[in-house]
Amino acid sequence: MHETNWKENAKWLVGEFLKVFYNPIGVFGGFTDAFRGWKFSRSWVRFWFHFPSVLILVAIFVAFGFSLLGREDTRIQSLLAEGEKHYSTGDLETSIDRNVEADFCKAAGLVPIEWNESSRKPLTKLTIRFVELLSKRILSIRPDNPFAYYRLGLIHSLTGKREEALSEMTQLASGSLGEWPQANAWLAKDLLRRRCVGDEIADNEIIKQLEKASKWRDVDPRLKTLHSRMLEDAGDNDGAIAVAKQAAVSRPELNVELARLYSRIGNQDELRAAANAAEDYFIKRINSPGEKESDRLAISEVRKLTNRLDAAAEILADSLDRKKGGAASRRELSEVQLMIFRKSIYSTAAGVYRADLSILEKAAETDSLNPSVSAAIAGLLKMKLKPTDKLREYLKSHRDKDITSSTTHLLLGDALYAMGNQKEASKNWEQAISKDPKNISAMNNLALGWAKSDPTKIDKSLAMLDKALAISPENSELLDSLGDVLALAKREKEAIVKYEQSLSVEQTRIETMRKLKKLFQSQGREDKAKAMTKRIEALERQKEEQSKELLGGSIP
Amino acid sequence: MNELNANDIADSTATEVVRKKPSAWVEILFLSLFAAAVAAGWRFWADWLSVRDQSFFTFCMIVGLCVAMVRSSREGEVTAMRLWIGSGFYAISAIALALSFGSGSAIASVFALGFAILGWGLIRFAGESPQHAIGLGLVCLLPLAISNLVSTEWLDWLESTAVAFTSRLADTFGMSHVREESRILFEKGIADRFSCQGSWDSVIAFLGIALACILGFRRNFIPAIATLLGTVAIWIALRGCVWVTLVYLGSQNETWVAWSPGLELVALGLGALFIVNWDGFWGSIFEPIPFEYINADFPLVAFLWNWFCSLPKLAVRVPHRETDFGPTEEDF
Repeated sequence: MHETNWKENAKWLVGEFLKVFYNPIGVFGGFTDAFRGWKFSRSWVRFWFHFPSVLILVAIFVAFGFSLLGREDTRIQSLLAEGEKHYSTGDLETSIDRNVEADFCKAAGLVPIEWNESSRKPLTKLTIRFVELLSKRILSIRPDNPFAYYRLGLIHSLTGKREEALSEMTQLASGSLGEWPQANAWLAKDLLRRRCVGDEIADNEIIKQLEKASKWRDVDPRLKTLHSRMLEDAGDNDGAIAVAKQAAVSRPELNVELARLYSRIGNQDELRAAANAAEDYFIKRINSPGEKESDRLAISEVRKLTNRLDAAAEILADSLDRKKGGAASRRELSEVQLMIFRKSIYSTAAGVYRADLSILEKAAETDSLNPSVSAAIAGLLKMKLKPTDKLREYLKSHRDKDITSSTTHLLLGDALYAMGNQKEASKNWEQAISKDPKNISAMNNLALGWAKSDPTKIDKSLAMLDKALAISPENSELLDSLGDVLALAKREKEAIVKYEQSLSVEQTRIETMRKLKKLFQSQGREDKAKAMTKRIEALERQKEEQSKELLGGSIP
Repeated sequence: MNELNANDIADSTATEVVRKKPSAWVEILFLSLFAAAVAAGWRFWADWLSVRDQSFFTFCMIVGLCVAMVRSSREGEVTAMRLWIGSGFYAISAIALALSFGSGSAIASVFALGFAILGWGLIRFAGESPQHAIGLGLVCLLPLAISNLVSTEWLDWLESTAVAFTSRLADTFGMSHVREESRILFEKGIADRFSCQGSWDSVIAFLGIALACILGFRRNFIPAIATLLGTVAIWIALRGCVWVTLVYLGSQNETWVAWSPGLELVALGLGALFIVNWDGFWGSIFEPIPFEYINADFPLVAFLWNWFCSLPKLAVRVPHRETDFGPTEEDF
């Protein structure tokens, strides 16, 4: 055994290495021999047996490598197409619209829109998640892609992540990623929803979003209708008509909204045209397989608007006969019959009212639970018309079932008060207020009733009137009543102020003028009383002339 | 003149084999150290073995060590009996054990166990170079190394890389999918459940198979490294392929989707086949050049190759040509 150390090892290695310079042929031979030696000593069977696994692995990594070569834009395009394939943006919008319909559409009383259900894919949790992640993936590649941003916002909106959706839509609506009116439409809907749940949202804010949203060709037509309503409220009737017409062009059923608008404005010619267009559309729908109860209701409504009450009743009765209509049709028919009944009311020369009570009975029979029926019966009592036994039964039944409206109790209270039954009258007015805490007529009558019947209740009466005035501060009737109560409380100066306020709101209140004149006289202010007398006389003359012109003395 | 040749170097570094039967004390001492180390680190081992893939890894490691020992014993009837190195490691093990009992450190107990096995292997492993024997013993420290890796972000990074790979692969094959952190959601809702740890198809389980191959086939350092690194690549590629294939099948036929629960074991089986094949491939590539094929005029290339392939063994034999030029003119 030869003992070596590191010096000898190194010497041997250097010696071998130096052969590169002085024996290159030998070195080359060493290389080739080593390779041959390596080659001949291999087990090639073993090599080829094991080689496929390496080949497969290399192939997989080559396939992976190909994916790295794709262009970013192409990738985004394919991802966007993939997202659309899974759940189209239109379907997402429709899903949201359907979901929020209950939130703002019902509150706004819009004509329901017919959705094409067959083309919409079912939206499962998995689809939502997939589409959400797909949008996120696109945004991870290109954070300023507005389409992915919009889709993400829609999904967040669908899944109830409102804050996230709001932030995304606000950013899109701001235009920082380019013009995106769809986001403005979403924001407008959101504002409308918020207003429906009680948030204070200014019309201007919504109109601003709606105007931007109108640049979107496929904007929800209901939004256009709401836009139209807001413009109408703002006094821009021409703008309102233009927008409502656009909505009616995109969805013919919205001609009903247009007809409503013309009806409110009082444009009879255009009202007829819009009503006819709406009726034509809905007539085509009825008796078809896709017929819905709302179709006949819409026809009934436009007929009502154009004062064709019998025709409106006819279509609804037909609907009920064919068993196509349900509770809504029944209620609507009852309402139409009530309208026909109201038209049948007239007063004789002696000031006695007459009406065809059989129509009211028919309305009650059509929908025995319609609160408007009991209100109409109570109205009969107020007009000192004696209801039939059947109608009395209906009124009793409504009271027992507690389906009477606030108006019913108000009218009953008025009638009972006129009959001298102060106690029952107050009871009914209180019921009217409990059913509608904003029923200022009931508050007014109750306050007056208390003040006149019991001087100890004057403070209570004043408090009630203050409450009513808080709801409607510019109400001339309430101001007049407040003057009455203050006069009863011997607070004449304050009463004069209230009467004057009432007259400043409504300058044709003769009764208020008379009360004011009386107070001026009691206060010794004769000049004011005389001026008031002149004013009363002038107004009486004016009214007399007007009634002559209008009626020509032909009251039946 | 005493000529220096490569064989002198090889012979000089060869361990001097003391051929005698090991004393029973070697076994007694080893068993004592082993039992004490396991007792001291029972909490570590209980935690370690409570995870499915980690227990599978340990099983593969033990199988690999047993096969390595059986195969090494075939090369010589008598053990190498590297008593002095083995005793040294026994001493280190005893110190680590004392530290473990003193400080309550589980890590020290695992070290103690590793060094006890290392010492025992050095004494008992027949036909192995000391370097190989040390390498085999160090394998016992792998659970500790892996448990440390688990607590770092390395596995998260690996998981993320694997998911990115699967995602790219799915892109290449036009599979609808989206990525959500370390999960992939495919069109039919099949989410990638592969993970780096805790399941049958985890990278730890795959590494266990690779370790069994390395130990069982007694690979040297370089093929072992190739196998281990290749195993990670196999794991990444296989998980991607399995999911992409599964989703493709799922998109053709809904019933295939139901197949996914058994996927872990199928993936493990496929992975095992790939790893064994891969290990065999590199094993066949990194074989040393036989002595008879080495050019005695310039043995350096073959020497370096054989040295490279035989790592961690530091000495290889090369032929040496005795050059005799005969009498020269000067001699006359």
